Amino acid sequence: MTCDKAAQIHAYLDDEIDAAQRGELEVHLLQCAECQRLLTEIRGLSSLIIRSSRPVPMRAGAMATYYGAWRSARDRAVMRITGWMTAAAAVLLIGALLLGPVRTSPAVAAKPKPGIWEVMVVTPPVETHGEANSDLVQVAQWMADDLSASGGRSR
Amino acid sequence: MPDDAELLRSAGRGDENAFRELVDRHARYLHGIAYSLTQNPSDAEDVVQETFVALLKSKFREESTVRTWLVQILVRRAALLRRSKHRKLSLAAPEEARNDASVAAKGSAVAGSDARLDLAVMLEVLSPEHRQVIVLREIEGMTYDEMATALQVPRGTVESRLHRARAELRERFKGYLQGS
Repeated sequence: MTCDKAAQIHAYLDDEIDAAQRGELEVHLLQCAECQRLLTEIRGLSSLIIRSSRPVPMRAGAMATYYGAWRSARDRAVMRITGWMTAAAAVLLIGALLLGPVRTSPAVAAKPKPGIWEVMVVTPPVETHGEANSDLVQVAQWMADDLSASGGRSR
Repeated sequence: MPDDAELLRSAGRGDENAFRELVDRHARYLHGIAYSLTQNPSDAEDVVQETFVALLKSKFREESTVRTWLVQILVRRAALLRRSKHRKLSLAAPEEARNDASVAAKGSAVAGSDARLDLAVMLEVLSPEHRQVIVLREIEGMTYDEMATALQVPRGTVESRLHRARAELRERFKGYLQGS
């Protein structure tokens, strides 16, 4: 195609140009054999396509299938939510396994750990540690003196 | 009577009757386009069903009519189906189909304009993009703007695709055009 108006022929035929352009193109068509031929060919092609198209076969149960899209969409939504929940549960499980208490050997694990209350009962308060030690030393000294004194008398 | 957009909103809120009304209004039209694009009744049915499933999952932005929006979804689904089928087929198969159509087209020149031509043969020679514009314009009578919305391309692209598609068909089916 060499005519610069040729591209407008499609829009003209498809009723996609305004009235002013239409009038201008119709004047041009009277003088341009190339555009006239193109217009005839495109018209012929459109009519050939319409003639060649046959009634579209639609299965009797097709409408039921299309109504069924409602259930398909709902089922897919449920499946999607189930999938997300499964994935979330898996992430939580893996996280718990990775961040949980470190496993110990069976021997250590078998030995029962003392309860916290037992530790507190036998452990004196931190601030009295020094005094308690000196008291014990004093008591031990007295006991030793006493024993040596009594031992000396018994001899 | 509620319009399509209202029905769509109701369907989105869980009203199945609204959905069924939308199916009643558009199924046959969509089936016609799907069949023209796929040339296979079973594929056409799958594509339309997928379109209605997508209708319930996608958001309608009211930038076009509901019908054009549905065509947009359908064209995309048909293209996806076509691509997945092509992946499964050997590379030689589509070429054979093209050659068959080409043979039919060559035969047409000999047969003359009285011969009956099948639309499937005509569309088979076109690329998917060119087939889309021919189906939407020539069979469904959509405007350029509607096609641009449905295909999600600029109007200029629609026009250039339509020009090329028509040029290709004119070239291949010359024999049928003589005396049209």
